[in-house]
Order: sequence, then C-alpha cells, then structure tokens
Amino acid sequence: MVEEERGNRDGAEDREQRKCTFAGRKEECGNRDGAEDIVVSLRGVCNRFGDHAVHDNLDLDIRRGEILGLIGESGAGKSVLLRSILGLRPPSAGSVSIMGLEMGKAGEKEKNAVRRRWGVLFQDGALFSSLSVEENAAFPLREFTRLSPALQRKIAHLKLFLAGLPASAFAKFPGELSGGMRKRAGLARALALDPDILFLDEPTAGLDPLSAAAFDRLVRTLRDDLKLTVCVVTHDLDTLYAVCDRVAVLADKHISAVGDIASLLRLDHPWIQEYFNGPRGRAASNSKSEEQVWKYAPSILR
Amino acid sequence: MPPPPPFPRTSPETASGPRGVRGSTREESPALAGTRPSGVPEGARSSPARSTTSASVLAVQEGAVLRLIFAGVLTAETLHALEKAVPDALRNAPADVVLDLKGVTRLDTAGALFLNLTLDGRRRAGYSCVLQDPGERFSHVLCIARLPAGDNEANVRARLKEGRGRQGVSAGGPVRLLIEFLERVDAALSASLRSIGALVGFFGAFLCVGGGMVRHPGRMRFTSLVFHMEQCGLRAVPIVALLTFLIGMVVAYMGAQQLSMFGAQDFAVNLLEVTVLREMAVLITSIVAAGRTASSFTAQIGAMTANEETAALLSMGLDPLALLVVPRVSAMILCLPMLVFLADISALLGGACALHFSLDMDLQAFITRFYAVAKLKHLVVGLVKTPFFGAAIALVGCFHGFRATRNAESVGFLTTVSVVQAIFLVILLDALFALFFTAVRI
Repeated sequence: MVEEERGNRDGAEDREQRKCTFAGRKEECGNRDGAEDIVVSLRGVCNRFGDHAVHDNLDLDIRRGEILGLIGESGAGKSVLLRSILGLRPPSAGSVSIMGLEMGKAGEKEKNAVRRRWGVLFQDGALFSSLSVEENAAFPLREFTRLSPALQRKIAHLKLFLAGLPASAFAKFPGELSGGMRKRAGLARALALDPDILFLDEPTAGLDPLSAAAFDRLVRTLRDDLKLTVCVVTHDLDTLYAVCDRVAVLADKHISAVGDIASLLRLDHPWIQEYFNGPRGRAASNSKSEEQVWKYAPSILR
Repeated sequence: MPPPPPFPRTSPETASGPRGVRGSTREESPALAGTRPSGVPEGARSSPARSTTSASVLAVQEGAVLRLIFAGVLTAETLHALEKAVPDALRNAPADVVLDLKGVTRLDTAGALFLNLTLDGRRRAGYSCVLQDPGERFSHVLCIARLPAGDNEANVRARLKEGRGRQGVSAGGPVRLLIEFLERVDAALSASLRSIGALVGFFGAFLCVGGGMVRHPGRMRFTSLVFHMEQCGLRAVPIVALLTFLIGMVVAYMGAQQLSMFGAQDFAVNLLEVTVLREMAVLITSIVAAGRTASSFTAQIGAMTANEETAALLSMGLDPLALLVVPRVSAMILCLPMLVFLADISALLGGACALHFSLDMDLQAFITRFYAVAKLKHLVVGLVKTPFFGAAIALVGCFHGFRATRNAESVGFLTTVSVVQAIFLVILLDALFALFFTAVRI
C-alpha cells in the first residue's frame, strides 16, 4: 500500500521526466525511488457477473520496466483482471489506461496501436494450431510489417531462440509440442514485434520445476535485454521470489497490497501471511535452486 | 490529459541524427558532393502504431571504404525500406564497408538482427565490415540479436515441406505436374480406402460392445439414451414435418398435372402413396438427420477427443464406445423410424392439401381413395430401412469424432466429412434395399 501511494504521487513528475529518459529505460527502472512512469494504470475497476462482484473499485499501477506479479486465491479474479486490462472483457466500471491511453474511450485505431505494443502469453500458449511453430512466431510480422518472408523467418528464429526453443522444433505443429515448448513458442510469438509490455498468464503452470525455473530466468533475462515491462499472473511462489520486483495481491475484490515480498511480509493481512508463510511459501523463500537449475537451461540462454 | 503519443521513444523530436539524410525529401548536402548517394524513399504506408518516422540509408564512397549511413527508426515496421536498398548498395561494391549508426534513433531486435546479418554476409564474402557508433544504447540489443550457428535455414525449410506433405505445388514441367497429380490421386484414394476400412473396424467394435449391452441391458446408459433421443428425434420433428409436407405437396401436384393429361388424375393418390411411403419420406428424413445429427455427433465427440476426455475415460477403465457411441446409435435406431412415420403422415397430408387445391378433391374423397389403393407393404418397406439408415448415420458421426486431433481445423473438417459420408451411405443403402426388394418382388 505504502509503495503504491508513493507511485501515484510521483506519477506527475514521472511524466515530465519521461520525455528525456526514454533511451535509458533500463537504468531508469533500476532506480526504484527515482523517475518511474506508469505504463498500465487501473482506476476504480469493477467487474460483475450478474449480482456477483469480482472486482470492486480496484486500483493498480504497473511501472515501466518492472516485473509485477499478480497473485490471489483461485477464483479471486486474476484472469478476469488480466482480460479486463487486455480489453477482452471491458470492465463494468472504471478506467484502464495503457501507456497513457484510456482504453475505454479510445477509438479502435488508437487501441490497435496499443495492442501492437503488448505481447500476451496465454495459459496454454494459444498457438494457432494450423500453423507451424515458426509460422506462429512470424505471424505478427506477416500481418503488421512489410518485410520479406526470408527476413520474417530470420526474425522469428531469433525470437524462438530467445525463448529457448531448439531449431528442431521450428517446423513442428503446436499439437506435436510439449506444454513447456508450447509456452515458449507462445512467448516467442508475443515477442515478435518487440513489445513494451508483456502479459503472462500462469507462465509456469504445468511445467516441471526445472523448466519453470528456466522460464522464470528467461523472463528476467528478456526483461533486462529487451527492456520489457512484465505483468505475471501466477500461483507459483518460486516465480514470485525469483522474478518479480513487486507483487500485487488481489484479495477482497481489490488490490489489497502492492510491494516487494519483504514489505508484503510485514503487512498484517491474514491471507498474505498464510500465503507466504505456509509450508510451500517458506520452501520457496529458502530455495537457492535457481543457480543450480540454470545449468540445465538451453545453451542459448546461458 | 491530452493523449500523449503512445510511445515517447518514437517521437521524432528526439532524433539527434542528421535530419538531412532521412526520408525521400532529402537533399544532397554540399558535404556529400562527389559521392554517390543511393537513398531509399520513405515507407509509403506509415504505420499508425508506433512510428512516425521511417528508416533510410545513404551510401557514401570514401576512398576505398563504402560508408552506409543509416538514419531514422530501425524496427520491424520500418525495416522493409532497407531490405532491398542495403543489398543493392552492397552488390557492386567490392570494398570494405562501414555501417554508420549515428543517425539511428531506435533499434529493435529485428533491426539489430538485420544489421548483424548484413555484417555476417559481408564478412563471409571476404570484406571487412564494421559498425560505427553503435553507442551504449544499441550495443546491448546488437549483442542479443544474433542467430546461433545452428540456425540452418535449409534444414528448417526441408522439414517444413516434409511436414506439409504434398500440399505445396512445386514448379516444374508438365511431366512433373502429371506425376504430382497422380500422387495426389493416390494419396486421396488410399486415404479414403483406409478410412472405409477403419469405419468397418469401428462398426465391428460397436457390434461387440452393443452385443454385450443386449445381453446385459443394465449397462445401458438410459439417461444418455433419452437425452440423445430428445436431441435427434424430438427436436427434429418440426423441420422433418415441414420438409416432407412440402415434398408431399410437390409430388401430388406434379403427379396430378401429368396424369390429368390422360384423364387419370385420380391415380395421383396411388403415385403419392408409393413415392412417399416407399422412398421420399424415408430419404428426406434420413438426409435431414444426417445433416443435423451426424455433424453434431462428430463435433461433440471430436471436441471431447481433442480435450483428451475420451483418453480420460479410457484411463478410468471405461469404454468410450459404451458410454458415448452406444447411446447415440441406439437413439438414432429408435428415433429414425418414428420420425419417418411422422414424415409419412405429414407428406400424405401435404399431398391431400395439394390435390384439394389442384383437383378439388376434398379430404373425405382423398381418404376414401387412399384407403382403397394403399397397401401396407409400402409403408413397411419404407420403415424397415430406417433403423439401418439411423445406425449408419450415427456410426459415421461418432467414428469421425474419434478421429479428431488437437488441431483446431480437424473438428470442422471431420464434421464436413461425416455429413457427406452419412448422406452418401444413406443413398447407397437405399439403392441396395431397392435392388433387394425388387429381387424378392416386394
């Protein structure tokens, strides 16, 4: 809570500074207390299914260059919130602003401009099953650029390698891939146009611990390399500890706390205490497995 | 707050590069006199998304060194302008090359990859090629945007082609085209033969399971059976009744018109009786059922197969045939005769209606005449066929459902196939029945 308020207060100054600091975004985001600007801003978002309110007056800011984890119980409405941000399910009330553009009021053309600036990894990859992996990764390039097919393929290969897929998988179809590879291919597609924001929906769900840790590391590397802003919806405590700069807790129909894990642990919220101090939470906080795991990651990433 | 440009880093004001060399309106500056510029026109379609600028390149010969001065925004959206220009500039330049990035305001991974590929290609050709002035901000992206040595283009393409099977037409002479044509005929023919074999196998498996059910009726899923009877029987009544009513009208009206030329218009009732009871009502109903039911069975079971639900059943030791197929096929076997009986009534009513309007034959006269000429065997011959048609339709629908894969296209494709095959089978069986009944003189 404390952090979030400070973020809001600084917002105005940040916008002033943004003009001149665009080139050095990476340096900028390292400096937590200094200049930060808000890439995604939710204000007073409500979502209702009939009489049942999922979100009530929810506020959330995502800062440029950070990796924000979004946690909450099953059924707390994390995925609904993500769909609201993406505009797949416009909120019943409230506003969603992305990169300064209020999505509820903007025209279709402006919204499309913003849509090209984000990449989304859906839970099971959501790859186009009639296209090969390579064609999937090249799909946004095919649709939105005028590059020659040869260069499109080269760029797609680069993104697939960055996502940690071996060349032998490029010609396969999504139906022939394992779950982890599908996620990596989905990530490559999300990265195709060098997005500024990356939304990940349960990126490590259903992966074995080694792959999950490698994926976590991958997200962090990509954030640093490509200067992304990342929003991760996750249940995976290891992901939270290994990757996220800040964690937003969705409970009681709104974001009840935002901050790094250390500051969340100091809060006196029963669900948060239980979440992080439960047996699995403690195990994740003690784990030093990240470095050990790293040596199994695909060679391209090392 | 007025909507700011979505992406501050694309704003052209921040471009620090030599503005003079960017875009199509560039003028040759005095400093470049005597050099040979080969600029690239600005992209015709400026993307509404992120860029208000474009990429350009200017080639300048400096003694033995060719300097390519890049300017503007080098991203996936603007790169197409450079894609032809850079190789063109390099083609006839047996010289060392300097890629000058001073004027570049933005570089994404696509642009960096393009530069790296240019560098590598040049170095492979035996010339020296360096990047000048990448600056702190670009060195990182240039570093990551590299394809590993293992990225063998030819390999991937070969595999892609292989995966695609024989779908792509490759260029070639008439002989090659002929061979390709024959290959496709062969592939299609053997696929359909295999499919027929598999269908027969499926029928056999169904008989085994269905036979077991007959011996132990308690294993039958009656809830499911009743549900499917409602879906493919009761709910089909309105459309079947309407269609057969219209067909009955048409048959009676056309018959009356032709027969009245011989003054034999009363025989229109005989014509109606034979045509409708033996063939028309049965065929129309079966074809409607094939369209409605075979497709829905394929889609239902196909979605379940794609979602691994049938695999889940198998893993629990349950037989999808018993749970999914037997209720559906039984429902069709039970429902189609009832539907056809309703269709008979509806078609006769339609015929009576048409005769009433065309020949002034009132309902009383129609019934009297019909009672005098009708033979029970026509009705029976029509109805006897229906359980077979129903079984064929349901079996084809279920069979294709099980062939579904995780591919999104497969269920749609299989639905089409199952409807076509079901209608084909219905008409084929009808022809066989006609031969049989002729042979036994019924």
